[in-house]
Amino acid sequence: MGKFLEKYPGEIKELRLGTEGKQAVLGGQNTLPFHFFEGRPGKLKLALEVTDSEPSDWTPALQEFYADVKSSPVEWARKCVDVFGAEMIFLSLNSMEKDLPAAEIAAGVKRVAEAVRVPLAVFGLGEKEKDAAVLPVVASVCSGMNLLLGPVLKDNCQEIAAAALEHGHAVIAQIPMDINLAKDLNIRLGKFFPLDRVVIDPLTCAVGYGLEYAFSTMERIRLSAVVHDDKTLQSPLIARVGKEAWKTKEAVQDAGKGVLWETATAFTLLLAGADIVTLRHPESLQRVRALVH
Amino acid sequence: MPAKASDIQKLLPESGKKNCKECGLATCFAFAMKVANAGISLEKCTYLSAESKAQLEDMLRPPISLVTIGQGARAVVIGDEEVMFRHQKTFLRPPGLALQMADTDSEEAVAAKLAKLAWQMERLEKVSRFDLVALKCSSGDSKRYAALVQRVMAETDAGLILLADNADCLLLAYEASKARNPLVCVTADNYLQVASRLDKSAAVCARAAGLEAAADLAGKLLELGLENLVLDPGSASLADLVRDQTMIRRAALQHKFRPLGFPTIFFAAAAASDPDRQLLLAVAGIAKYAGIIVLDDVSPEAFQVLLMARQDIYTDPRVAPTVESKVYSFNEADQSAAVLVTTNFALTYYAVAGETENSKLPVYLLCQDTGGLCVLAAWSTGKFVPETIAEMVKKQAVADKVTHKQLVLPGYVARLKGELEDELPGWEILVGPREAADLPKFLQELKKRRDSAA
Ligand code: SF4
Repeated sequence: MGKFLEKYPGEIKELRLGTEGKQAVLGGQNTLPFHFFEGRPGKLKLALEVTDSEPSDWTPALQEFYADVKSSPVEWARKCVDVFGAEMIFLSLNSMEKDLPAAEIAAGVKRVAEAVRVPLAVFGLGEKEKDAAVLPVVASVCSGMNLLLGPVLKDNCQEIAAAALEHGHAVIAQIPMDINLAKDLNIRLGKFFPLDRVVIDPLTCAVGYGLEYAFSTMERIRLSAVVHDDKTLQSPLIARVGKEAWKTKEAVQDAGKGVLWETATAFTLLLAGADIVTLRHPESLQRVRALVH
Repeated sequence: MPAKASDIQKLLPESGKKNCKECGLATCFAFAMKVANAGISLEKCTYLSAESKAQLEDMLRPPISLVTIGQGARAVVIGDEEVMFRHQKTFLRPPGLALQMADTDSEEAVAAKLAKLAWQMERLEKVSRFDLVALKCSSGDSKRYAALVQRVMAETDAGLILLADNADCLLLAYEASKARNPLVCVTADNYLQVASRLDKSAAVCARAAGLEAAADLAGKLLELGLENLVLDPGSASLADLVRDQTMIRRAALQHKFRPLGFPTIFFAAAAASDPDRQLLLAVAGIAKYAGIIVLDDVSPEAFQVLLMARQDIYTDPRVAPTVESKVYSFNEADQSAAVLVTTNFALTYYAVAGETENSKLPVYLLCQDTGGLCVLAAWSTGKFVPETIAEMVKKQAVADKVTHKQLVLPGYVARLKGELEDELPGWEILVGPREAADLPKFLQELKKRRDSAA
């Protein structure tokens, strides 16, 4: 069977996040997802989601599940790491919806980053002006903590990525499910930002809600990077699964289904090339981890 | 890659220049064209030498054979896939899903699984269900095994997969179920006893530990004249599954390696005993080329997620998925129901429908036919504009369904409000949210406003 093996020209560099003592490495592959038989697959990170103020839009089942910690992002993040084994924390800045002062939001992020021994991804609202106002402040208050900051959009990449670069953070570049847009944004970013410090977020859909689009977009980006050695797409990929899975009708009806939708979506996207997967329920994390590690 | 007419022509009599017209076509080249599109049988050219014919048959055979298991409406057809990655064209034939039971299972367990084979899911205007039942001989008793086969045949029309180490058990079951075109699973240990007693048209699964052994066994079965093969390389983990499935498809499509040019079967039931793991491995099998996936059991939730994942991955990326263009009602819509309009792009529909159900408020949802384009794409190409929306509202007699005259537009096309009001005199056009996720809140507020106005 040796004659059917393939070597690929492209490679994703390892991305190190976090600081001394709580560093984590992801990516680093020179082959396709789970192709242990012919190369070196990337290192995956399974993240749990935390919000920096009470998550009013999470389903009641999840709210109840995190009832003891959800009002304290620090306690919540700690529990996700210490009790549930999260390999990374994905902190959504939903407090931005209440228009709190940026300095206050950033101070909260810093407290979470200091409290846990895993790297932190920090995610704004996806609204270009608000994010451009708040994320640079987060970057500077958390200077040197080597966070993963995003989303960086086509229209605010200058402001946010410049601040991230100055203060030593990596960024998440977000585009709506299109390989060409991913390339465009990376080319734009690449003019002043190292592309091996960019994680691409091509948006995610859950099983039954367009999973195939997310699957093929990720797969195409990864094939371009590894098989066709497209340097502009040699970035790790993030699949923000938790949010998409838990807003499905099925998950809202029944938490058990929520876990199934979350794991099935995550698992499929890992096969397409996701390097970071964000989840909301620790049961999902356990199930996915049991199979991939 | 279908064979090229010019390559076919070269193998026809006198290098394809005989042009005797006896096949009914004007020239050998015309005949070759028709052969390439599978529009005519090679038999029609009576001058073809046996050698050329064999060569042509080889050229025309798809790199992955097409195999049918079962019969009638529930037949499972797998194989003949053309690509490694679905965006390169599409994955063509969704994997058959199978439930496994053994002849040592309790009466209740068998009855419960038979009931599950009747479960159905209707989605995207297609009905789907588990397709097959894998019957395992654990007793070693050929009569007991045949009795299970008989019973299952009497109670379900699902296709059969026969699993028995003992050749006698397998053959007795095969004889009993032959008319139903079962998949007969053989191993290196029993194929010699079994193969000669099977019809040449039988569907046979080569079960082996590893790719080499599977290719070896498939090669031997081919020599014995069995060509409807399915491969089981015995994948025992996620990494195995990805390796085996990738290598088989690659060997077939890119290297035309005949012994691996067949669809596959993945026994998730053998790779993991824990049902949650089994389910996830099955999901991986769907994404990664498995032709049949066998599970021990399935819960209603797992059933739903598996069937939806299968439908997702096997959606043709070249065709936009649509739902029927009509008025959908939610949460017991009555005369007070809110009226929303959107496109018939299936994903838009499912997102809006899901959030509408979450809102628990009565709603009529009008899905206008845009040929499956989403709101913005349909608007920008003139398929979702005031005239088309107004036509839908009138045609569906929406005014007769509700006592109010308010219509909610998707937030992305807020700019249509004025013109739509001109098209629909008497209607008040409201602008809804851009994202479906914001619908429950919007509908709550709309209801509050209405209640206080009343
Ligand atoms: S019968 Fe055969 S030889 Fe004659 S025209 Fe047809 S293909 Fe050519």
